[in-house]
Amino acid sequence: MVLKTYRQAINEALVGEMRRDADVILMGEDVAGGAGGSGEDDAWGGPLGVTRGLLSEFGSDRVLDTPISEAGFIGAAIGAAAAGLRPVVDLMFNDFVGVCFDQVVNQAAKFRYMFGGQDQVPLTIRTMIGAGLNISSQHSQSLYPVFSYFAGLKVLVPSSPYDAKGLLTSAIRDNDPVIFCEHKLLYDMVEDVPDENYSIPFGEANLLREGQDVTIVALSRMVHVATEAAAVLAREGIEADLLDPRTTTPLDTESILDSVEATGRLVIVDEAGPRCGMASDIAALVAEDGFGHLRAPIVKVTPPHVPIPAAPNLEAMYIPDVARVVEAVRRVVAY
Amino acid sequence: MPKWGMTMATGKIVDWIATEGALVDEGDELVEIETEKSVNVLETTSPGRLVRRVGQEGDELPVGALLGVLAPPGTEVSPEQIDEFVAEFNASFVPEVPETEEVKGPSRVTVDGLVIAHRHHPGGGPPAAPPLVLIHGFGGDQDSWQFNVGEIARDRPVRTVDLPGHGQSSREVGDGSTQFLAGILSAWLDEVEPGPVHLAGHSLGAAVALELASAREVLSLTLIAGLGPGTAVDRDYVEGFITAQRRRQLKPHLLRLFADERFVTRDMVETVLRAKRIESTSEALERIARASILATETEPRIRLASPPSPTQVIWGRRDQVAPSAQAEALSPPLTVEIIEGAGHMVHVETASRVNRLLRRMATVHD
Amino acid sequence: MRTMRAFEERMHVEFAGGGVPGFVHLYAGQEASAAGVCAHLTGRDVLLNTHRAHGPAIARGADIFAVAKEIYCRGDGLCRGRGGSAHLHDAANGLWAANSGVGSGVALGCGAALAARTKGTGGVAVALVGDGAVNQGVVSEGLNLASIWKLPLVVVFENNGYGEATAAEYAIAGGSIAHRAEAFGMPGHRVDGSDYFVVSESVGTAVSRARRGDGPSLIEVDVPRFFGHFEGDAQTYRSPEEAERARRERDCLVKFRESVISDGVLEAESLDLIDGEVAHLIERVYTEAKAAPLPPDSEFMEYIYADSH
Repeated sequence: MVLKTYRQAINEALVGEMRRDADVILMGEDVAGGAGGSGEDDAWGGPLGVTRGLLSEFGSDRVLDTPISEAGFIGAAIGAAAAGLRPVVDLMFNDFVGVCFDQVVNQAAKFRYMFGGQDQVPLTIRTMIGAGLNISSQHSQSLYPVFSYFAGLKVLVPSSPYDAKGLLTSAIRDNDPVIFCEHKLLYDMVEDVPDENYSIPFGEANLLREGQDVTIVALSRMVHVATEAAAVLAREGIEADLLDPRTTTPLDTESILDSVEATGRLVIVDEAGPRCGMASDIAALVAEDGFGHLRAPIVKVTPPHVPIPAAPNLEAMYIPDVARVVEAVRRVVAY
Repeated sequence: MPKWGMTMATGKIVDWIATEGALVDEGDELVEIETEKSVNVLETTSPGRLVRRVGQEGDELPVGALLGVLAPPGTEVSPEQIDEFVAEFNASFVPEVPETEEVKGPSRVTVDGLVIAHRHHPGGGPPAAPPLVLIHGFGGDQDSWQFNVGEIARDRPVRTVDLPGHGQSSREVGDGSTQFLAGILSAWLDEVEPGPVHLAGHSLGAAVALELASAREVLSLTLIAGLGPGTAVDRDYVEGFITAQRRRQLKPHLLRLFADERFVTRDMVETVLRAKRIESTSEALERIARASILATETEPRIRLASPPSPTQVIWGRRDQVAPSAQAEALSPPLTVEIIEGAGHMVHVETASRVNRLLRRMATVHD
Repeated sequence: MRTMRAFEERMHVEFAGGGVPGFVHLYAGQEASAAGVCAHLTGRDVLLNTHRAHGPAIARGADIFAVAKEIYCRGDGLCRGRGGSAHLHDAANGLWAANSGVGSGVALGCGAALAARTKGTGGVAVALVGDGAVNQGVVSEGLNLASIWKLPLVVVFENNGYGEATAAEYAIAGGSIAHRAEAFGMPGHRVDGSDYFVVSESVGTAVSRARRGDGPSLIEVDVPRFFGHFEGDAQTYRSPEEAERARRERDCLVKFRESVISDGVLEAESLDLIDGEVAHLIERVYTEAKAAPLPPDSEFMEYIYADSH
């Protein structure tokens, strides 16, 4: 058993794939961190140190610091992917997609379909999601529901070091554009992660806990909130089936529907907003295709419809917590 | 309370099978116990009269706790003597802290260029007791012996190992033949356990054990749900297991390994999936399956007429992967135990019974 | 150039008659630009098209029947009817599509150029951009990236005087696209886009420079636009005389004919012969495209992902 952080797990996946395939390149703001300055060329290794050490092993032809110009370098990554490379591009905070939205949703997502399947875009966009660092609403959102809207993109939300390495490996090998959403509060989470390369298939929900009373679907960091809540509930005699979809496109609808068929109750825990989000999407799925099995209304545990504040007390109100999940489950079980 | 699995800390009494006052013989079922990983029946290891059921149905007790009191046959004990015994036991009983070795993970050695993951479980018996080496089956790993190691280690050291292509060992499997696998394990034993050993193998592991027994000094051999080359095995199971990449694809195959489907927990499916996801695993399993499982060979019954070591065969009557009929057809010098109500994973489903058979076999042939 | 012209003249007529799905942007008047660029490109190079896509697609060597069928959204069009007029893409011939979010070709072109360099193919990328896209952020970002990474990229701005209905003179600060090259540390030239030979010479220099590894260049090609922004555009934002004068004085086909005949390169009869063959070809192209079937309903959900899960 080898304990590694989420940060190390991502780094290992990158190293593993860059060693395995010379077409894999890395680009983004400060992925080396230090290009052209008077100090070290690989001073940062990414703003949070995730890509540290890659420049020294793979050189500046394959690890490229970019200027702060997301539209330009993400567009370039798309072009490079369509021309045969496998770029892993770092869109530091997913909030910054605002300045390169066209590249992500109109170029990357449509390059294959709009041209009748002539080309493919084997591109991975790594990006940080999530609130909890008191850095306000332009650095804290969870926009994977937005990405999931677009056919042509695949969207991953790894909740653990093990999943992060396996899913990133799959993402880099995949021939389609993949948005890989890293929750910034998970970087120091530790777990047993094999040294070997391994890949986790997309569209395969992780079943974290088996129970017959309620289905809890949780995404990204909310998986840990839900895990804690499920333990509290188990002490009350309420056993939850806990599912982490791991990928929002493709979405493992079968596992969700099968679980609800068995439990008759559904609580969805999502750090993304309450409107047009994954919680709404999954609720709609079950309302349409699993209505006959429901024994209680579906409950969504999400933040309110508000931008994310910086103040710690207000941000704490924003992020769903264990108490809210426990309360929601009690409510559906008692219904 | 028996210890089934290295991380087992407590067990719950589900059902007392033996009634208070009953005479029980070795191998009789005493009590059904549920752990976080399984439900298993504890069997008597020595004859006697069950004079007191101390633990009650529904009780959750720590490993080593007193379940009941068995008086030697032919002795009379008064209720006061029993009370005194229980009081004394409880006064001195300290629940053990679960071993941490599993948390640390197995050790690794490099043998013939391959990384081999293995564990050594120190024995509680006489210092010179030869160890028992356990070899798991196709697609499994050394943790499939988790319900056996603890009890067997009361007599002697136990060694478990991940076969090449499995668990945390290297994915290099040569030509995938039992000869190759046994060669690697022989080199591993040279490294860690050069003296005589007892061997037990399950399914594919039985084939490897048989091969090993021809190559080095093996005091006794236990073949569980496998007879080596030519064992009749369900081809659909083997191929389905190799190709399954997802939980929902894999689970139906794992269910076929057991008579009681409650053994197929979320944790078990996840553990198998994680091993299968490691790069090159499917190719390694495919190669082993082609060379060692699906290849048709000589009739085991003829081949085993003169086994290389004293040999017992254990099989589950309800084995859906390798039918038990082929074991029933065997004759002396082999001893054959067909266990009712157990499937292919007989050493998991009826761990207590298999443990007793393994301990007796080794003790007789030390 | 004659094929491009004849194709667009016919499209103008067909569109007015109905039957062409969506909307189309005609390239007529700008042919010397596409021809001058494509003369220097090989199979390993990538040309990034604009939404005014028909002419460059033909110039790059895409099958003209498949081009027409794509504009008609037919099942065996270049993009199997998924892209239509503005998104003509021909991977096999190094033609990358046009982008309705204009200007992205510069960034995508950086990527194609980066891949060519990383993989050592010796290829270059040429991005066509309209004057209307020059003020897009992604254009500046791409030019900057191409320059700091010294990419084998040539950016050709086809300045036809109007971004949709808004005059370039109004929209472009400083009045010159070519001058912007200086800010990005690359060569920039403005050339007469009605003269094939001038365009070709300029592009040739830039492509050679890129192929040598000396970095990107910018070329502003001054071209007339004979038709409106899109078909059906009443063009009330410009005087009727302006388009007429452009046709009279700045027709690249007329200039080319005069030039090659006076220089003794080609006989008038040869040119007439080509024109006749083109007319015949265009007739066949339109007849076949209109008769071709739409994509099968059964393939509605195809081509979204390369790897399904």
